[in-house]
Amino acid sequence: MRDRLLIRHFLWRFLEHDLISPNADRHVVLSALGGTLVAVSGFMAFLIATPYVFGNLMPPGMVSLSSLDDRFLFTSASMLVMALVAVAQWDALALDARDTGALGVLPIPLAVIVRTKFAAVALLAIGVAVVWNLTPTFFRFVTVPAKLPVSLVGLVTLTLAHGVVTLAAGAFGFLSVLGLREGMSAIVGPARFRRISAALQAALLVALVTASLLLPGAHAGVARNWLAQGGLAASALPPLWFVGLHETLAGSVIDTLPRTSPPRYYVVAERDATDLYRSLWPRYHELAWVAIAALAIVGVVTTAACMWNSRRLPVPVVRRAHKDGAAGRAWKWIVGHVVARTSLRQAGFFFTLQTLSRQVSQRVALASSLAVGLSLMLITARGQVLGPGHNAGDVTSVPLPLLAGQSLLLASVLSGFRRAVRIPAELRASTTFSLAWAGNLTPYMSGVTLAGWIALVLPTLGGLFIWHATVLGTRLAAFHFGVGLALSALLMETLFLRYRRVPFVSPYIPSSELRPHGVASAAVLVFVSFALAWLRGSPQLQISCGQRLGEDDDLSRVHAEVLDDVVDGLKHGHVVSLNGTRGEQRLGTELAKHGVGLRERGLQPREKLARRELMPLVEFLLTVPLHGSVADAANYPLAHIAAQVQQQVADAVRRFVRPRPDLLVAEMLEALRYFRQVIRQEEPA
Amino acid sequence: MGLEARHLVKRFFGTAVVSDVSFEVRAGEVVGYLGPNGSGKSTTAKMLTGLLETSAGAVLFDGQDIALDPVAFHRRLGYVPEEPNLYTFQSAIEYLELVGRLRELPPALLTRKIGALLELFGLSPAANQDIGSYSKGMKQKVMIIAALLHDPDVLVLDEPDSGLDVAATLVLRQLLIALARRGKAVLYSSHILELVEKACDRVVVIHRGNVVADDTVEALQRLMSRGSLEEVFSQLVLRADPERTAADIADVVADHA
Repeated sequence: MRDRLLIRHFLWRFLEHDLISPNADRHVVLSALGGTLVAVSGFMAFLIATPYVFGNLMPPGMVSLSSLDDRFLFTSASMLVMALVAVAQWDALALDARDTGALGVLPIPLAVIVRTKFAAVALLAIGVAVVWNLTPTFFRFVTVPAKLPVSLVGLVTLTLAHGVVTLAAGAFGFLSVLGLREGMSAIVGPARFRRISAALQAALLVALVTASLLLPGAHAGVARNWLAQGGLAASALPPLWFVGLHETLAGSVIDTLPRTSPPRYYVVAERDATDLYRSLWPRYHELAWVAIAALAIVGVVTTAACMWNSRRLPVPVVRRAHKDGAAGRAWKWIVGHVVARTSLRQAGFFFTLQTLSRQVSQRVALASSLAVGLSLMLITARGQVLGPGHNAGDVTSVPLPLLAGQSLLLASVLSGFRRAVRIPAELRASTTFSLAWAGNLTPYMSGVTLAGWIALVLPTLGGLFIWHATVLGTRLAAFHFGVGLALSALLMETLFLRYRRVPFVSPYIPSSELRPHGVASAAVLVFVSFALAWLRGSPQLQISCGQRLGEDDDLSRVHAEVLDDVVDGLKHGHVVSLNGTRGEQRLGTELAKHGVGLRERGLQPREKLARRELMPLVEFLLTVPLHGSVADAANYPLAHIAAQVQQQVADAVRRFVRPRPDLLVAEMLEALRYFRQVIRQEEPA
Repeated sequence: MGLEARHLVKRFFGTAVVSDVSFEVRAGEVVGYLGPNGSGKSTTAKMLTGLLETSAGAVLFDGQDIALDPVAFHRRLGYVPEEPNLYTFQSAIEYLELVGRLRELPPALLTRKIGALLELFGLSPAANQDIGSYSKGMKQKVMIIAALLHDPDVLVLDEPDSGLDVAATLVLRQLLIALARRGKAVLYSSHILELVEKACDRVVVIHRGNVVADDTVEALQRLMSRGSLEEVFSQLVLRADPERTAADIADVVADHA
């Protein structure tokens, strides 16, 4: 009875969070959080299931291979969500001085308090892991294509394997964060850990949120990009360990299915997929053992660290007095005489710096926005840093995403700053402002924005300057830094243009509801990132065409690669030409035109838009009767009409070979830049 | 010049916490505000400072309704609330600097005042520590300093002696008298009747949201034929015999069956 009461007490304490209103009804909060987890994971599972359920028939080899991507996404998501939960509950994961004050005076043995505390932590982890993984696990029943003859036992095996593996991955993520926290505390001691705890939490938050946002776009091609290549990266990526575990547990269910006749245009892909998938079996077993060992090691280390830190109830750790030194006095003098000369401006300036650096809620808001900004930068850049083809001194040769990244990061950081400003520093202390407020918001606000600019914008631009100086050269980096300064000033003014509340003081959500904005924003962010990733291509697309065509978004280059692949196919026997001479002649002509086409593409955006629809059709409606070669000639007699195959290929490629809608704008911008380059080249002439 | 509560009423969800409270605190006067727990003292104090809207009635300062220009009133008000709610992540110096800057005090004067007051209240050694690590008495001292920084004309002190040590309590008593002599209007709510008796010129006693007495200590003693303010207070607001109640409590505590 006593244990149950204590566990319930500790469980409710998890809801006393900085991001949750203290006036909120705990049951409402619990429902909202649970609903959010179920909705997001259900949405993800639905998106993953869609191509299997509603798409064309996918043969077993392709399903097995594309499932690797899905398993990677699910295990990564479970791991990241659980790690984020642990980071969010950072200080509540262990006993603290409040527990000492409340429970230390009661006649309860220390062992009982410690036991119940960690039982509550375990219940939290299990609860969240189950809520997050429940819907995707049940969706596993329907993610197997309906036309594959998987038995009921097979379906149950797949579902159980999914549940076990995603829960194990989640446990690994949670225990890793808990282990890191408790391990650090055990190593450096409670007093020192308190000093580094906030920074560690913020760093983890940035890393995990960034990883979460990048995940939807990074999970494709797991077999080719990670597993098949081997090396340290493939072995060191924890989600892959659990992918290996899943394949070891249930990979054979689909892989051992009998191969029946797939559509002609899948034949080669199916054979390649089967070969690749089966060649990775030793790797799956190896990774599975790594997963089990890693989970065991993390569990043991975390338990040991927790036990060590719980030898006695924690006592309050008083932060060391931070008396101003010479530098502090000089800083205050500079602020008082140069930066913020009026009292109200100084009040806003210093209070903002103090709140941003010392309050958890504000740090969480800033860390999240920084993570979003970094993710946007990485997604936009898509690995486009300066390469051999770029001239460090010439701004026109710099990829647009590299230049746009700074603006994205600044916008994200400043949005986070605005969000942080809206959160009361300490609600109960807001009477300070009620009584002392002089009614003049403008100078105070000016101090607040100035502090945000100095504390957030300058370090961000400074970090980017170092990076830009490395890849672009000092002159260009300095120019870019200047542009960033101007842009940030503009953004700051825009964001706070209609802001008429006292920063860090008001308003507070007056109702008993959960603060809606954070949860809603997070949900929207996940939805949007998934939607964008979805636009990029379904697993079916990735296998049937993506691997053939590459990941390139440039229509002309995609076009070229299609031709290259077809030519390669002609040469290496993947595709047999019935009237090879005419086909090769035609393709050879096209290949010869590629260079010209690539050079001209930037100047003809309109034409290209039109070609987006027409080119694949034109290309494949030529009288080149083709038929696919077969993986197993016995199963696939050559009985079909070649022209029908050709038509199918044309239709399939037409569906897939086109730039994403969001890239049309980017392409037009790039075209303008190329246009400028051409004009520049022509000027001397 | 003074602060006047005129027929103040405050209802929460239809229940009147303060029914009809009227009294005046004149300049140069320390008025004691007494009442048992839950009688409406703190609610009245919050209405007097403009932090809580009245359900009926008005608060006048220098004859003007404070609701007409609350900012102007707050410029001349010093308030020590019942609970010392401070920004716990700040040090005492940082908190007082924030208050002073919000009140637009000149920087040099602010620095001088903060240093001197922290020294006089015995907080200098802990001035750079986080307020979160302070005891209740230390927090209370910070609140008192914050209320005095701008040399207010009217002071509302809602149990400022809560958590203060004996020495600080004695200093506070003398401080109230000194401030009144300098023309400040002081409303002092407390449960320490001895302190109120010695520091206050006049006493207002509130019970169940109504003023049950408003006079000088001497007049009340004469009127009630009692020798001390404690006896007067007991007769006015206590309905049960304290000795009897204490014995009943002890009986309940000793019950093991």
